[in-house]
Amino acid sequence: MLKITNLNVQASDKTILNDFNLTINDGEIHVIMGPNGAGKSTICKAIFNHPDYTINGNITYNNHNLVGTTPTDISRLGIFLLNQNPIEIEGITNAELIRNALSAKTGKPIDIFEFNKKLNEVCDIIKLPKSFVHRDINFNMSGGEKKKNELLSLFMLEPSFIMLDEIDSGLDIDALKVVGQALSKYYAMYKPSMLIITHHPDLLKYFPDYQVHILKDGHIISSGDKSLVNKIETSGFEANVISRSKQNE
Amino acid sequence: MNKLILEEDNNKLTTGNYLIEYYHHISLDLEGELTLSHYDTKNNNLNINLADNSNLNLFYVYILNKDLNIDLKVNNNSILNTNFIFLNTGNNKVIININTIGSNNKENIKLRAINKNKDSKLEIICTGIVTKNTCDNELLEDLKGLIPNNSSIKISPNIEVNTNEVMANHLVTIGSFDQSSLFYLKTKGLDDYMAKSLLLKSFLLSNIPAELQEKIQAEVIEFE
Repeated sequence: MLKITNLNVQASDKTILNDFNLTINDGEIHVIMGPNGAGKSTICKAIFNHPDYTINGNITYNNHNLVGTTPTDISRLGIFLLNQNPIEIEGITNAELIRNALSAKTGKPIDIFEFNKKLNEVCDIIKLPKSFVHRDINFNMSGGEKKKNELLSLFMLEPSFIMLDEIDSGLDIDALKVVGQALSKYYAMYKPSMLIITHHPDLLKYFPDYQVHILKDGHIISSGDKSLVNKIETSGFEANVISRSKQNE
Repeated sequence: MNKLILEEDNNKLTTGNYLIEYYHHISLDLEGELTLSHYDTKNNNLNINLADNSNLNLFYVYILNKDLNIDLKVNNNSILNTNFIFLNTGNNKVIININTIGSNNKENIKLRAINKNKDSKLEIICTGIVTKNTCDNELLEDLKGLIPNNSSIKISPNIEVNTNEVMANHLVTIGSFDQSSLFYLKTKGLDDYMAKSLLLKSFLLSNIPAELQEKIQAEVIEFE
C-alpha cells in the first residue's frame, strides 16, 4: 500500500504540492487528472525523492518511509516510473541497464540464458523488435518507440507499483493501442498498484476499474469513480470541481 | 584487424585496419583508407602525416601519466576522423595540433577526457590551423571533459584560420554527470557508483571499436 499524507513539495521556494493526501491499496488503480501546472508530474518525482525538491510530509510504501530514501532504494522496493519523455542515454544498451538493475535488485548474478529468453518473450508481448534490446537507451527513437522501450524495463523488472506520467502524450492511435494492451496484460499478470497521470481518457479504457482524482493548486479537490472521467471530458475540470463543491456543501 | 608493433622512428602505412603498439616517439606517414587503434600507457608523442586522397579513422586511448604532444598534418582531398580518449592520472598537459596545409579536406576532431583521481589536473590545448592559399576545408573540434570528482580539467579549443574559404567550428563542454541521466538510472535500481560507472562508459566509449572498449572498461570501473 502506498500512503501519502500531508505532503508539501517545494522547488526553488515555489510550493507545488500543498497538503496532498492519497492512499493506494495493493492492486488498485488511481488516476490523477487536472489542468496544466497543477503539480501532477511532481507527485511521481516526489515519491521517488527527486533531489530538486524539498519534501515535507509522509510517504510510505508497504510501511517503508520513502521521504529521505534514495531513488535507488525506492526502486528496489518495487516502484517504477514511466514518464512522458524518457531520457536518452547514448552508449548504454537496454540489455546492459536491465541486467545491472536485475542483478542489483536480486543480489545475484544473472542467468544469461534465462535473461535472454525472457527478453525475447517480452519483446513479443510489447511488439518491440528484438534488436531494440541491444540499442542504446531511448537513443534516436521516436516518441512511440521510447514508450515501448520503457515497457521492456517494466516487464523485466516486474515492479509492484507503477507510476505512469502522461505516457499517452504524443502517441498515435496504433502506438497507444500497443502500450495500452501491454499495460493491461501486465496488470492481469502481476496485479500491481498503479498511479496513472493523464489528460486523456483513451488510455484508461484498457483498465477494468479505477478511481479518479482531480488535482488543482497542488492538492486533490475532487475524487470519484471512473464515471468522473466522462464528466470531465464533457464539461471540463472547472465545472466538475464546482459541481462537487456544491454537493459537499 | 592487423596487430602491428612499430619499433622504428618513422613508419609508412597504407590501406588497412591496424591495432598498433609502439614504444617511443613515433612518426607515421599514412596513405589510403586506414583505421588505426591504439591503447597507450607510455604517453609517446605522435606525429602523423596524412597523404593526399586518404581517409583516416583514428581511435587512440591514453592513460595519461605525463605530458603529451600530438601533431597531425593533413594534405589534400582527405578525411580525418579522430577519437581521442584521455584517462588522466596526475597533473598533465596535452597539446594537439591539426595542421591543414592543403585543400578539400574534412576533419572531425573528437576528444573525450576524464580525471581518474580526485586531485588530478588536466590541461588540453587543441589547435586547428588552416593555412593560407587553401580552400574547401571543413574543420570541427568536438572536445568534452567530464569531472566525476573534485578534480580539474581545462580545455582550450583554438582555431587559427588564414583563408576565407573554410568552414571551421569548435565546441567544448566540461562538466559533471548529467543529473537527469543519473536520476533515471537510479529509478531503475542502480546505485550511485554503478550509475556513474555506466555514464562514464557512455561518455567515453560511444563509437569506439570493441578491442579498445574492453581495455577501457577495466580502467573506467576504477575511478575515485
